[in-house]
Amino acid sequence: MARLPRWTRRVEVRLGVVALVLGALALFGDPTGGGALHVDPRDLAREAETGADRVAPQELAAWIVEGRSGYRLLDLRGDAALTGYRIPTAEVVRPTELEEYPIYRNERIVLYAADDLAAAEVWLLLRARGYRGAAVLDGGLEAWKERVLFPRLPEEATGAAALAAQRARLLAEALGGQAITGGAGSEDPTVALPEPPPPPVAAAVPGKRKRKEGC
Amino acid sequence: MSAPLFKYGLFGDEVSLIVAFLIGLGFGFFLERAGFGSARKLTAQFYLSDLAVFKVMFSAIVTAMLGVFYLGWLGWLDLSLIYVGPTWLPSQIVGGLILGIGFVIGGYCPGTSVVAVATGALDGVVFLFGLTLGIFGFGEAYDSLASFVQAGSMGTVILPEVLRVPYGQVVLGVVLLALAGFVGAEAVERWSARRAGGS
Repeated sequence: MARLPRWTRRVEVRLGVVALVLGALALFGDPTGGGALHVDPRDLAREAETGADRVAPQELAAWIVEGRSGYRLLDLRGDAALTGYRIPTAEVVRPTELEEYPIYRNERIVLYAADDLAAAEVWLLLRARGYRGAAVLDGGLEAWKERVLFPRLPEEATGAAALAAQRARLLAEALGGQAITGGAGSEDPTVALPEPPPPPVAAAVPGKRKRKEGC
Repeated sequence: MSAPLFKYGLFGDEVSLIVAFLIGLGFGFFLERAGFGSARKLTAQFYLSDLAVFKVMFSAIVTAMLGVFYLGWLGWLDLSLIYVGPTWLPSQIVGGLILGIGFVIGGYCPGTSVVAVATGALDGVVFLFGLTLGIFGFGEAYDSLASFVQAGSMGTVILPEVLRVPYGQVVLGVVLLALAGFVGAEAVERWSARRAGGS
């Protein structure tokens, strides 16, 4: 094999040094631009099985009526949320704005959107970013209307069923709805949805420092 | 973010063929200049007397890896839009073995056989003819081979995900591996030369 000139050896050594320096600097870089997300599939599968990834409309209704503060309710429908009905205490935010929105990883975050798939997608994004308290409103806005605002109650109920019916009726009335008495086949009364609450005040003030997360 | 250029709509399908042609010209040129149109030089690596193929290919890997990493870090290249072929481990291991055996026997790999044909080498023409027949035969037999070919599908996997380490660590690891490989290759070549001189 013919020997290469000496200068090629010098070039090879210098290229090797350059590669080594660039390789070392790479330890501090992220070529994905922060776009890589990580999820634990076993964690997600467990939550899907136990239902820890969702909140029932009745449970959310109880939180609202009891005035609890340990949750954030996000309405992901964009403009439709501003002009139409919104669940009380809901904050309107677009999925694309969530990255900059001031939500915190130690909060219970309940999501609903125009459809279940959209809410589930945003839920997955939040979980992949470490928001372990994120959950989807089970059944979305439609389930909220059917089970909380306009629950269908039995005409005659006794014992525990009567208590549950009474609770459902009180919740519906507290949230501006009305319980419907009667079984399948009875006509739904013509009841208008409650007026939407005024648009929420913008949660993020430009220049305001983000609150630290965690303890 | 503005690359990959094709994915960002900088040019369409027609221009992409011209781009591919120009890249192919460059690839063929540098393969030929590196001497990879010669079956003797290519097979010499299997006899450990000339590891140029190993050094050139690994250099190309490191150069491309560093380029992709830093362009991605600068925000000029969207890594998620780069096509990465899926992995089917069993069939790709068997295919690699067949390729390696064919490489040693025939003296070329698919790309270098085209380089040899371009330089007028008759053995390159024969190799390319055999390669084409093999591709055709595989296509005809695919129905019976499909279950094996598609077995063990792992989807698209990349080293950072498989090793569960950050991109940067993989980059440094590959660079160190390459440098060690180059030093080792030089040592093997010197040993092989001494052995050839002494025998």
